Amino acid sequence: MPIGTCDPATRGDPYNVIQLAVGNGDVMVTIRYDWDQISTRDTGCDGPLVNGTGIGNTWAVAYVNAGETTYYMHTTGRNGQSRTFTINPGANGTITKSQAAAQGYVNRSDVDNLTLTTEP
Amino acid sequence: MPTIASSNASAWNLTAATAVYNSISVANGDLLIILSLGANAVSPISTTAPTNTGTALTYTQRLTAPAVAHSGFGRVILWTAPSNSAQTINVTCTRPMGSAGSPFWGFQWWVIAAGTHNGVGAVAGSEDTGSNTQAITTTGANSMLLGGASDWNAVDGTSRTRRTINGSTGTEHSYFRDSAQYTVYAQSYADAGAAGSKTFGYSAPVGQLTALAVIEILAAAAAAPKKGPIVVGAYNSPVGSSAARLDAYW
Repeated sequence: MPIGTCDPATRGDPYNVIQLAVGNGDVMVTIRYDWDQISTRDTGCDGPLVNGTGIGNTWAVAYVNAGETTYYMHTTGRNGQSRTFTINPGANGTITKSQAAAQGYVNRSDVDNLTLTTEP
Repeated sequence: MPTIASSNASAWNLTAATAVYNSISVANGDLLIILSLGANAVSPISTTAPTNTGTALTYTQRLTAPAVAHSGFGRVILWTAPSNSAQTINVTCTRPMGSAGSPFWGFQWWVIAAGTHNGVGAVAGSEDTGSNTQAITTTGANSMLLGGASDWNAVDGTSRTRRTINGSTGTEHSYFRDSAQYTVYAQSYADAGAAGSKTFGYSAPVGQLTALAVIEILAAAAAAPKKGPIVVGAYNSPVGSSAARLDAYW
């Protein structure tokens, strides 16, 4: 894996990033998270979702669907909960960490088993 | 040309030792291909074949790299399984390596439609392909190429470029990155053109350290024209008129 540890600062990054794209790149989600000071790579790095900084960059989750089919982001939360987030055709948006938390996405471990499918 | 009847992938941030993908439909003559990718090729290296519900398919391991544990490199294993009947199956795959360093893994699958393929041709790949680049020499014309890579360096692939084969950049089926763990790519080329040397993978981003596997799916042979004796029959109409009819068949 890349240099450093779960701490993004060891790679000179402000946060860790998860990206998933399907549909020939038409559909993509991006999730930013920090390190919880405890987890290690052996168990999978964990930590809170975080916003970026700067104008237009204060988001924790970004999504885009440049295709013509509705996609669904499926995840398993840290307590085993299944969650689904709908990404409609033409969608291109962001949500802050507070908005994400209101939907149950608090930590990186709340987006385990991350998939994008056309099945709701 | 071979045709993908369906395809999809598991999550790429799996941590459990096994994972199931439900409801994969296969028809008689279809070919199922499974590509498992892992973040770190640590012990124990696993070559446990996938299993499925319903009538068991026979899984053939086409490529595994590395053959023994090699921390600091990604992990790739490629399976094919022909289907001899129509059914909908749940497929269970096993994490292809240990969990030390990073437990992350996942798998991409494709079903190649019956009647469009003639089985497997060349296979190529290794644990260190040199920045998501793999040479493969196809053995048939108009073959399909399928494959993917695990990038141990977890390079940011936001701006990524697939290589061109036979004038096409193909199709990307999956891209996943966890900047603390690894990056994954899965792609296909529907028609690799004339048999010969091809270069599979991504030209950008640079700096990757990939375990990669690519497989050639041969195009179905063109149907031979029907031939045989022609039998001619001639008869009068039942009413007794002089009308006659000529049938020819083989």
